[in-house]
Amino acid sequence: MKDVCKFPDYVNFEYGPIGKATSTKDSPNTSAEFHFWIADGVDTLELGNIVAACTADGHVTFGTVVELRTVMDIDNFLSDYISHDFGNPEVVPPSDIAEMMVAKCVVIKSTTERVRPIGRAETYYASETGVAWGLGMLDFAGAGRGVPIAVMENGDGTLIPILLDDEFLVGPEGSHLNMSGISGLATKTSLVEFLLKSILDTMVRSERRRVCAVFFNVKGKDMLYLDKPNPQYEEDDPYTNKCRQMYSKLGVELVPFENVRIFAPYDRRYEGHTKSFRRDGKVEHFIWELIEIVEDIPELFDKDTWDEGVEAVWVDVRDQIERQPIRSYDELLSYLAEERRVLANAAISHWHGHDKQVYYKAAKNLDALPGLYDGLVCTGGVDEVDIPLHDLHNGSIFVIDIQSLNDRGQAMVFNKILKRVYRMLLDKNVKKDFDTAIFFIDELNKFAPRDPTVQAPIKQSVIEICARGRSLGVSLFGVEQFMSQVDRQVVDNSSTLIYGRTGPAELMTDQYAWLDTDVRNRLTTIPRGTFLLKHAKFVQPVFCKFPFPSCVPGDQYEEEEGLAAKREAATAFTFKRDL
Amino acid sequence: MKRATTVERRRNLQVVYDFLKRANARTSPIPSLEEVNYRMREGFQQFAVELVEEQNPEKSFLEVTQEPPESADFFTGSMQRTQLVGHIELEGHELPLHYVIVSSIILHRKDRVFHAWKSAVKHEYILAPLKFLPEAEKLKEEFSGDLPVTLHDTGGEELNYTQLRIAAVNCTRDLKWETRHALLAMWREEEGVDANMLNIIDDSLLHTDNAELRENMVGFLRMVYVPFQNRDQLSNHLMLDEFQRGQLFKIIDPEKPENIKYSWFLRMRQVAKAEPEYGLVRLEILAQNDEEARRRADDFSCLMVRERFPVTFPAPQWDKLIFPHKLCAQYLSSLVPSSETIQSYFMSE
Repeated sequence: MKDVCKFPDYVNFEYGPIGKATSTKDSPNTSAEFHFWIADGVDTLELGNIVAACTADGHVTFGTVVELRTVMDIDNFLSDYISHDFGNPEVVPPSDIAEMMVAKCVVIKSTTERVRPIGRAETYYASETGVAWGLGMLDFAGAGRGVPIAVMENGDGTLIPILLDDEFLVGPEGSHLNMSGISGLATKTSLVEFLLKSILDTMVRSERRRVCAVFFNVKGKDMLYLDKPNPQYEEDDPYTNKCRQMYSKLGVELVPFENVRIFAPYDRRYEGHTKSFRRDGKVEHFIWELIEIVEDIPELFDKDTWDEGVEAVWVDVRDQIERQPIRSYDELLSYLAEERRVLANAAISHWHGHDKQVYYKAAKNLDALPGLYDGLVCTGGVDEVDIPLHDLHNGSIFVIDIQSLNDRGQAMVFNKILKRVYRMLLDKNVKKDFDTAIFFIDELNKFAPRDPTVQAPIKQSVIEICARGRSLGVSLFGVEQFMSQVDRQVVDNSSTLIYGRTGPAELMTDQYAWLDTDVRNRLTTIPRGTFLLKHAKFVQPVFCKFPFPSCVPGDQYEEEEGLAAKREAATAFTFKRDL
Repeated sequence: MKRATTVERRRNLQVVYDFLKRANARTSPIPSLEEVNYRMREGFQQFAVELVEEQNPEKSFLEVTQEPPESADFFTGSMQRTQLVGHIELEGHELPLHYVIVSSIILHRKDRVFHAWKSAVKHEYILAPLKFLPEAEKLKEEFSGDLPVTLHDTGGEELNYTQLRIAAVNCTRDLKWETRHALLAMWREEEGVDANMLNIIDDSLLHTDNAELRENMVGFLRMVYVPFQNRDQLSNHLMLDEFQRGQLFKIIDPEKPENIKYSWFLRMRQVAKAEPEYGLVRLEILAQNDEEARRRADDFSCLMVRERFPVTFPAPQWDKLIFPHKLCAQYLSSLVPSSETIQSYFMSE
């Protein structure tokens, strides 16, 4: 077959044929899929492998294995039961009933332009070049646009680099990445860390793009130690060695991130002044003055607390803030207290036309805000410290640690930073050393839920970023446990979708209906470090593997013994209550 | 010759089609195989039987105390397909033309797993009654040699339409035997030297001379109708119990008295309310003498009882069809187009 094949580089002929394409009345081959039986002794083929079917005309058709079936020469269960002497499992008949395995493949691409089912074809593993051509990676990788994300381990043991087209990863042709999967498997965060490393390595090296990243740490210590080397790489076990091999294959440096700055809300009680689990002095604090958050204040309360009456009072309070002007939250509190004192006169029933009780409610909310969002709002004489977004530059990473805030607080910070960077990129007059900003946030379903009845103050903002951000260079890497709970527009606007291990109930939703049944089932059991990748440039999804990140996973990092516990005890985070 | 070279490049069915055109025949295929339409005569009438044992041994071959020295390692299956595809009108008579496929395969079982021994032998023919066919010699010359399908004489002495069709089936049967003999001859030379390595053949050995057989070849027949010359001597085999073998008898060809085969019936399985022939098979072997034949009948009965598993349900005659022979049939079927395909091909004109 090698002599006949017009594209011998695309096929792993050395391994030998792994089967032969076949079709039956019940399972005919079509232009979109084909079947082949697997040769005796080929026990390495598995779901997700990419194969090359070579036809007699010398053309090669690539397919992804999406279903594997074994067929025994038994017409029904009764027959086999009888064969075992009417149900004796210990009986060994003199003949072993023939068993074969059939693979169903969905067609990725063919070297022939004719769209038609393949006929009889010998099937081989696709070579590295073949996979690259089949998935369309050769085109954009050749143009220097390839960003390594993982490797695909084919059945012949070849590790094949999987590259994403940067124009579809961070714009302008497409953008955004969405990743879903069950928590606790060290896949989602680790993959984002690896991908970011790959993006920065590739783009900074190529000088094609100037990329910076803003990561939001919404829980635990996930993203806090990007600058620390991963101690896993001190090990010498087979999997770690394989990870090293992956780094080498993908051309990514096995060193932790540089140019990382971490920011967390201010903590007045802790000497480091940051509400962060990282306590080694690396974290910088931020805290905003009234002017900075005045627009967001209504979004920090729920509808019952901040009703229409309160909102009406707030309009007049804002008017006063601008007129007087009131410059700090301390001044606002003083103003509210003074007004409250005046209203204590029983003869006065209204404040600026609002019922006095409504004013009291509004003032009470505003009084409580600094306590509820402790560390976000300057009070008690603390000076404002902003996150220096103007310091973002090519290759830099800002980690905003907002895990101490409740959902509304997290949403506010996320939205504020997102909008500010968006405006920076939009405004051509602003001097900046980056043209692409990657935002990463976990638990995206909280910020852009699909359910319209769930209150989500920044949902529209996220949707807008997803819809328009790509042309500006804003790319959102969102992660959640359940993709079905994220707004459809956010998912549909993501050029890259990644599926980690997913529960069966989630897989029943229409978000996964396009996947073959076996692939869906596979998602329920895929191991750590494996995921299913769908990229805008790929015709079919690919099962990929990625290595341990080069930085230490936050949840595995322990600072100096006893130090963390001591500081933990010294600081009590604000009770996380969703107002 | 030029014509033949042109034809050679075409597919097998095209060769048959070319022949029909060349012989001025009309395509007129029928959907069923001739083997279904006309029962093949096994020619048992030419043989006589001689009892070696007067009674059926009252012994169950399910449990044996002594392991037989032989093992069933090879299984031979053969296939014949005779399909009527066209007719020639000749002086008020219709001459049937058939497309015939015969094939044979030996499967080798090792560690319970099967592999084809060498490869299957397959031949394809156009059967025509050459005695009555115009330009028969010329056609024979054109459709012979290296062509994938060659012209062969149906035989038949009488210009009778039905008799010619029956003759075609019998001719195919002879061609099948020829094919099988050729394959067995190869096996006999290369593998069949070990007398304890049995080859279970899915057919009768009666029409094969002993010189072409070896003692490790066993005929295994699912048909238990035995119209031998003195068949009345074999009357009690329908009464056999499960796992019991019948009395041993010799089968003698009066014209070739040296070709003695030994045979016996065996009930491989039985169920309540089954018809008398349920699970009943007949085996044929060669042996040097009666005593050896008796011992081997016991051993082979034991081996064949074991072969009842795995069952081939729901295949036709599954009560008698052993799994390796089912595999042989499947293997051979996979090599040929279905009769529907053949019919469709010749219907298209």
